[in-house]
Amino acid sequence: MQRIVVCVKSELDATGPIFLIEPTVKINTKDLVPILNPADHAALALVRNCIAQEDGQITVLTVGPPSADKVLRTCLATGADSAVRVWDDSFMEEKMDAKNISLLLSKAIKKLDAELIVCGSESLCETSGYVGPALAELLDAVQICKVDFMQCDDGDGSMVFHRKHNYGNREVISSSLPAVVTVDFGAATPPVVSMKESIKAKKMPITLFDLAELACESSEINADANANILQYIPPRPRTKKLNKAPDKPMTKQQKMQMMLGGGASKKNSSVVEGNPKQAAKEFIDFLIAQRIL
Amino acid sequence: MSEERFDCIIVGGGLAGLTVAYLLANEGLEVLLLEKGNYSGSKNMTGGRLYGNSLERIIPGFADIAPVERRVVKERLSIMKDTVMQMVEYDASGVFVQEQEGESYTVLRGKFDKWLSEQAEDQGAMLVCGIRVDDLIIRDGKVCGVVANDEEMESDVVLLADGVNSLLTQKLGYKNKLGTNQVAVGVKEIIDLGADVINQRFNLSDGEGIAWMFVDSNEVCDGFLYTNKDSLSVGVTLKVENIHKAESSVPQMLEDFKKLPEIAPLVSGGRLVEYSAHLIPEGGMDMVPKLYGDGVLVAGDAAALCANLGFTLRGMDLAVESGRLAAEAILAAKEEGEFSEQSLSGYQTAIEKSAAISCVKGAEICRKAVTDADSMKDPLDAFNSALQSAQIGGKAVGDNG
Amino acid sequence: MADNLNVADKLGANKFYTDEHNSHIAVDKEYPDKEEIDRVIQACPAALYSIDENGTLFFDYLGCLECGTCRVLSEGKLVTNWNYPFGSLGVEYRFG
Repeated sequence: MQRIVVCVKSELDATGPIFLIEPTVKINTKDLVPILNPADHAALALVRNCIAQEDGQITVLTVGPPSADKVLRTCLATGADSAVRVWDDSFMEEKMDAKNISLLLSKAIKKLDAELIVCGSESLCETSGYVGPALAELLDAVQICKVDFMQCDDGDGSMVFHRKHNYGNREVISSSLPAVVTVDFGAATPPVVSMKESIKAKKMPITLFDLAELACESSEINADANANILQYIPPRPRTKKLNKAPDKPMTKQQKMQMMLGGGASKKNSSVVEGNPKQAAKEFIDFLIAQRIL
Repeated sequence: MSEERFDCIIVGGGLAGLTVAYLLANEGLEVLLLEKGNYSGSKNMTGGRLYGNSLERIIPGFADIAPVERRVVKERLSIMKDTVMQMVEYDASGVFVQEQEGESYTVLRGKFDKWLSEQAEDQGAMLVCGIRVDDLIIRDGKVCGVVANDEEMESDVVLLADGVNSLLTQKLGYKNKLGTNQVAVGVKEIIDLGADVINQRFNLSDGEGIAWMFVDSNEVCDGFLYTNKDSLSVGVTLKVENIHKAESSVPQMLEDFKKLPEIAPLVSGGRLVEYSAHLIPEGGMDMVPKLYGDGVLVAGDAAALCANLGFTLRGMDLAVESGRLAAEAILAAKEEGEFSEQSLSGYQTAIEKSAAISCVKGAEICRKAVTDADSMKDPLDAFNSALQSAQIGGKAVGDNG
Repeated sequence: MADNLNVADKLGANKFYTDEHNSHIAVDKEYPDKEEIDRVIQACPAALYSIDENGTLFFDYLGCLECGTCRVLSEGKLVTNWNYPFGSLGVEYRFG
């Protein structure tokens, strides 16, 4: 029976429209809602799809205050078998950067004696991609990134992983354990929310690991971060290319693009055909008309 | 028969559903609340103003701990007659209908309902979000539970608090298809301005708010404006049957409303942070469905317990009140040991005596008062006398009293 | 009629969890009554119904605010099936 830990993060939902606070140019987090990092959810889904419950027990693990229990319950309802949260009253949320979180996770993982550790490749809000590699280093484990399939090897305690490579190629990797594996968002789709699973998940206990449980000194944790965010630079404003309603309704894709992008251009492309001389003339006329020449 | 069952399953995590969950869990009942959105409030929307009385009864001092936006201290009523707009400003203890005394607050549902759901959970209610209930389990005419995406869950009683559209109340046959004369479509923008700008533009202190209703004598397009902590809620409502009277589209009406000289300077420089729409029950007594049956009760907007009184809207507080009365009826039935139509009938009696029905009856009267030509002289007087003559309420206090 | 661009911009301020595969509202694209169609186009707060110069009806469930106006106006006629999106999907109001 494999012992698997999936590390998850409860973070503020930055997938919707986000705004920056003037003049500090920081993200305005006031109205953002905490959610389960989609890449972490994909990681959990991938593990559960590839490894059946009788072959591997999944513990989801997170570092967070009691409000993070909500994402653990979502995981319990969608494939996880047990859940652990790491938090101590002495922790300050602002000091919980990726470095400290990785340290705490690694201690918890050692305590759980996991063979396979899986997490999303990056979070929505920070997108640093730090935790996966950091865990591998701290646990002295093999690290394999951007995995989209896995399977236990028969008997000898190693596992096989698939990952996408460039240009449609795929790699098949055999690895010893322990291994830390990161999964991109989209590699697997979490199952649809089930009423019964959600109810069951609500009743399951969540184990709390505090500093004492982890045999960790608080001095190890609250060290100042080495890299500090100076500012966020917003994208430059895009001019709206359309001053009036388009004369024919936009396709689904164009509409979504407009909604997400704040303005889309109506593509009015045409293909220049004919013999090279004719085509060249047509092309030059086009460039002149567009005031490029 | 599934292994697990609950005392009560509540469909809908809005104010009515959450009130029932809170009260029943508080009494130790096993309660399951199913909400289709990812959290309570995520699929809900209000203008909007919450009269505090009914929730104060349940959670005294709730406004000190709940995320209310601003306490309403000023009210404005503008009556639009053709091109003329007459505005009256009065203090917030103005004309009232039964049990409107006490404070009222502007709220945002995404925050407020979420807070109330946490209170219900603290009482021990089990809230499961992201679940859309598709059907009811009915055996021998008795509602025994719910079906969500082919999963069944049973309970002794089901409370339907699934909003104005309430597909389930309709499936039960307790409610007819919604008529276009029974609902108004409300569309709203939340415009972020910052607390200081709002305080300055409306001459308010921090935490103080204004509720401003615009009533169209031609009954085409009403409007509203509420001050939130840092933003304004600005919108229009239109009875769906009156669409043909309107010259422009519903979204265009909102645009035009924002351009009115009374509104434009107040919203200028703001940033749109949310655009929402919802239906408001405005069908009066004809719209109120059968409220109870074997193993089932209906509360909140699903029971059409909502009233557009012209000078104000009562809906959220009536939902809370109906939730309280539904919880009482369920507890009484539990004492009797059965949840038959007979044992739940106390709910109907209680609702009929409550502010909910007074308001629903009052809404039609008030609408008539505003279209009356004389109302231009003193609109508050017109509402006042209309309500008094119907023995529903009516007491004008304040600048025009 | 509705200024499509403005409304789509406004919808861009909202958070949506889109159902990639299913539309929660089914529309009869061949519905003959033009007046009925015009009424629904006029009424939809999200301006999701539209008609092109050839008279072809378009409906886009993305951006739906799930109010039910089209259902009240035209269920059984232009709208052949109306439901809320599957649980957890559709619009998510942060403010409400």
